[in-house]
Amino acid sequence: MSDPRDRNVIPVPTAPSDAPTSIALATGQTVNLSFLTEAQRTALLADFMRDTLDVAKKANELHVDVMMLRNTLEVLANTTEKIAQDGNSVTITRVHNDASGRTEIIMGNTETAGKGRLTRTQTGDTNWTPYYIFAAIAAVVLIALAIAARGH
Amino acid sequence: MLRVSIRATPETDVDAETDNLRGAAKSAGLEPGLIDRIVDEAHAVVRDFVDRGRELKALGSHMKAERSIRGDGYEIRVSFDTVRRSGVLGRVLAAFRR
Repeated sequence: MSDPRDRNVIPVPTAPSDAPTSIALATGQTVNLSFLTEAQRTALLADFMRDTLDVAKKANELHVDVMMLRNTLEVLANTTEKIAQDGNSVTITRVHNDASGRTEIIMGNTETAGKGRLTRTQTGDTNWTPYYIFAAIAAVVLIALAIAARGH
Repeated sequence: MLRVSIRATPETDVDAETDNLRGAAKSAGLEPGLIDRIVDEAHAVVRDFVDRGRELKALGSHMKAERSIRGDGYEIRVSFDTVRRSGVLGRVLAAFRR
């Protein structure tokens, strides 16, 4: 499996309308394609270009994600610092999902921030506890009804 | 599949963590281009966490942050805490050392 990023295609044209008979890779190697038909070369180059664009897109997404996280941290840290310096208590939480992953942040000068635990509400996860309690109550009621029905 | 967990604190050596990650990625057989990309992102994340965490710690505040970086063939979890937390075993051992 070769790295698509190493396949930055620099076509070496033979004639203005022909598909190139060799390609120069970013690694410095040149691959000879002259044994392929023109249709095969065209298809191969189209694949290379698609991969190259995919890699560029992914790299761009990662860069945007990193910059967004950096800016978010800066804003949250500055806000925390300002509020704390004014003598107030502050806990800031943030949960963010993006193309390359998930980020959870908790900052502040409070005991909650010191513990560093996000609640389910803060993480955005579904809290199933009320459903379990309701299901347990329903089960108890059904069992009680069944026992009562048998008693009669 | 590369699975790495980086636990950072304000004292963490970011470059050393990056080197460890690169070594693990190479051992896992990832492609060089992919290694560069994920190592660069993880380095930026750890660096940002550590820098901001140091600032906040110096002002008496706390910061805890987690970032999961996932893709085809890799999952990297970067966590940061201004306080180094030890698990149950660590606490028991610490109690015996006293």
